[in-house]
Amino acid sequence: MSYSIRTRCARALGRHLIRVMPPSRADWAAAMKAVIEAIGDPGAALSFALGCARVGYRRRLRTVAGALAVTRWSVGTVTVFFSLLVLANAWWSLESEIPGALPQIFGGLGVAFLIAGLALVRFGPVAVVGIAAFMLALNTAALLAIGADSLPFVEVYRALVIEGYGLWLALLLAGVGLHQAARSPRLVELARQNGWEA
Amino acid sequence: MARAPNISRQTRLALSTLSGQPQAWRHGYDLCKETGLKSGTLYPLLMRLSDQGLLESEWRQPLEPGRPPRHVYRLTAAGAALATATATAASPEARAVVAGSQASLGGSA
Repeated sequence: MSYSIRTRCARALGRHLIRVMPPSRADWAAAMKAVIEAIGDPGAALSFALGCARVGYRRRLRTVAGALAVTRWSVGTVTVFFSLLVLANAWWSLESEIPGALPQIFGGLGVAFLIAGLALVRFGPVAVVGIAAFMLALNTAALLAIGADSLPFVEVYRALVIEGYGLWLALLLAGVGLHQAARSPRLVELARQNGWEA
Repeated sequence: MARAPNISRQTRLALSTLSGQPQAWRHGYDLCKETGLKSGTLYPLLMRLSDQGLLESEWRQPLEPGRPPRHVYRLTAAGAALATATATAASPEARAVVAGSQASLGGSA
């Protein structure tokens, strides 16, 4: 890496550090940034900046907001991956020419999970609570519809609905939990008592 | 017999380095170089010492114009006392560092 690239990377990390570090440690982030800018050797500056960035991220994760953001991203990412599996299943069902509405159901479910995962990451827990509540209502309607008819593959549909209840309920609870945790003074106090950042 | 304070090797190293010149204000990068600790290890340690009232810090204007102000650090009286207690209870090397620094300060005074 050339002189200017390493220097620029180090300084960019210094600026990034100011944004990453929790507000209670803003003074320390400014101190580290000042050192990064003062180090003349580009390699040493980059190495120093990488260490500082690590400190910033570790401090950030030791805040309630940081931990909740990681949880939100993790649940969102898992949901998106799951949706891709369901969509792949829909594609496979379509290719295999499985009779009935299974490919369409898998496709719809895959899209719903994809939207829920992306909504959780992009808009936060309230969005996913709304989607999960809607899907639970839809599941109930589906269960009632299945009960009324003697469709082919009725057991498969019923199993899908029951599985859907579990998954959407889990997402609903995750959303409610994340929403409540973000507003809980008790959690903030507990975190502070355990040495977490404000 | 007094029980040795339960602190990490890195903290002992930083304390002994800072207590080498107890009245001098030290830069973070100089401390990194002197202790051999990486910035990712040193700064959390400095933050903890500061939180515990063992380290004081302030902003200093740079000697060269155009440079940003720098944060500097030194031990408080409590920090210096802990450094001495740690050095006497710790390894012979740490004891030697603190003893050497105290001797040089005594000689120069």
